[in-house]
Amino acid sequence: MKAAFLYEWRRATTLRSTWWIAGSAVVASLFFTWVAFKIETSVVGGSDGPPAVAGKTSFAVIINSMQGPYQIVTTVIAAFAAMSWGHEYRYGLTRVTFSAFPRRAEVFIAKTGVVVLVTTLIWLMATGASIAFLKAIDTTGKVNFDFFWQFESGVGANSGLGAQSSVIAFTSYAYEALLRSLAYLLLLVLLVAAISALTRSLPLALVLASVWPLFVEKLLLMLSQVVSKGRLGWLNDVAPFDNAERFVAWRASYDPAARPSDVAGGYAPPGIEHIITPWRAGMVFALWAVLLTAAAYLSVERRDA
Amino acid sequence: MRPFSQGPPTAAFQGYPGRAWLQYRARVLVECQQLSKTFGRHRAVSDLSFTLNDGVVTGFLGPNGSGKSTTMRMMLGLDHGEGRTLYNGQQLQEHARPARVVGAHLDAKFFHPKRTARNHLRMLAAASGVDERRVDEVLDLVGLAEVARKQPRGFSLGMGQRLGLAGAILASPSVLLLDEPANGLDPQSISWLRDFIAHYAGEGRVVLVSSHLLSEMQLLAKHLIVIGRGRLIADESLEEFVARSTRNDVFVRTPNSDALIAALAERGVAAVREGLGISVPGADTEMVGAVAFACQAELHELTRRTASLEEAFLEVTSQTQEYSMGGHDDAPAEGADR
Repeated sequence: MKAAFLYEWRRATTLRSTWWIAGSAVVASLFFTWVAFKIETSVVGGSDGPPAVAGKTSFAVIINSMQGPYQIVTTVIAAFAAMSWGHEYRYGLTRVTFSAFPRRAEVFIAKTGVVVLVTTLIWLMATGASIAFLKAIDTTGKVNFDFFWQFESGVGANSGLGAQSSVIAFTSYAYEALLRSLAYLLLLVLLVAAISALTRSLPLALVLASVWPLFVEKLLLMLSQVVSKGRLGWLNDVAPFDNAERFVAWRASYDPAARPSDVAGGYAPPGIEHIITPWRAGMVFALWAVLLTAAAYLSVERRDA
Repeated sequence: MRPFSQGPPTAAFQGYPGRAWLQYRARVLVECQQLSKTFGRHRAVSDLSFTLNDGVVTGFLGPNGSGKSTTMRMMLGLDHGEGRTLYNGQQLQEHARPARVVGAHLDAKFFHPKRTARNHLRMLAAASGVDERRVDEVLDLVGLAEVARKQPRGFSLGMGQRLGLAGAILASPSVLLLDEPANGLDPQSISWLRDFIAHYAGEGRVVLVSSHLLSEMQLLAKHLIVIGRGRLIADESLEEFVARSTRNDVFVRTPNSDALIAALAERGVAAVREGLGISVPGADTEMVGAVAFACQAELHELTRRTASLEEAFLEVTSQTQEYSMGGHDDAPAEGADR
């Protein structure tokens, strides 16, 4: 098993495209951090968040602002997952790989493990670099990092800050959002890797990973509502990326007073109340990732190389 | 790009001091048992069984579409089907380090065009646990040391073959499977490859080589597995295979050809006129000489002509070609209406 991991690690890290993807993700993350910083610090306290403390914008507001652009970063990172199987099939390397590792489960586990590991590393680099960058560009001290560090040391939530509790709550949501963004990213890369193994096509996996959530699924859901006059509303509850959006949507957990439809991400058509909470939406997306990964494993195991 | 290493081929697989597994040279046996494979309605491989022995190079021959590549893929577990292949009594996936058991080179383009040749081999080295010294050693051996850190997207077919071969021999495996390894190589490289493969097998390893270059195969292989339409046609030594050909004959030139033909016919031996002489298929020079002596025929030439591997192969596989060129079949038969 160790040999398969090392093989896969070398496969991934000896391609420039892996480094380009990692670099692009970090650069894109830095760029969006800069944009969010500029936008949010132009309004005291931030455009969408708790009141400012001591005239400063909470760093959590910046994270809130990053939710939308983050989808672009995840799509860039997902390309790495598509390459895990896509490159192998495209260049006939599966035959080389499976000759060396006839126990294909080893290859599958190693690939999945390395995809998760590299993705997490890229996420950590992008997130860490963005926070460091934010501190670096905040030369006039417009952003309040106090809660960031307090939460990091685990004292923020119960530090008895009294009137600043809404800021603390907001900051805790920021942490949760960060974790959910990582969870979403990991599920997404598993799903994309599975698609590339099932389709045996790098371009198709890339196209599906980007076009399906952006257009195809939205269009299908919209058409289903029009055609069925609302009878197919349940499709929203099982559609993978619709649920993924609800899972990572900021408001889903920020505003405790939100209606169920808001909590669900606000995509429910009029008259339909979603009962799916963000974490349950995440479970639906996870189920898709797990099912497709299982199908990919069976495909890899049973089909001729 | 430098040519293949000028050193003795044995240097390639002397292994490392202290690496016990590389020194391990137990007797190797590969048994293919009733391999069968169907693609849709097409039976690509049908109940194919044979055994490969160590110490000799086995040639794997068959017309296009006869199932050679499919068989090799099945031997490696790449294609699923019926039957099994045992390497020293175990299937490949049952070995702890399969990459040390079998090295395979199936195609000259099985690499990522943007991963350097050295990194490609480093990746493969992870599978067998060999260190990077061996990677450099093998690159030098196949003459790719100078382009080791270059992306292989610009590699010629011959260079791709070298990289594929380097990958196959990286861990000095006990069994080497090569599918058309000489394609695209220049004559010097083919000669080097022939010596290399012969030495490799000579060290007690199993080597199976598929090739359409029959003249090369004649120089290289000691044993042949010949298949047609997925079925086994021959599993014998090259000498036996060639000796079975009806194109082996004795050529005689004599001014008394009528008398000699009649004398041979009396002994039930068919002879046919060929140019200025007579061809006696399947005969040997001693018998023809004795008959000529008995019938007082004056001999100007008495030559044993042995069929080439190519002739023997064409004869044996003529009825089993999956895909044949149109020319001969389309030509009007002799005597047909004109």
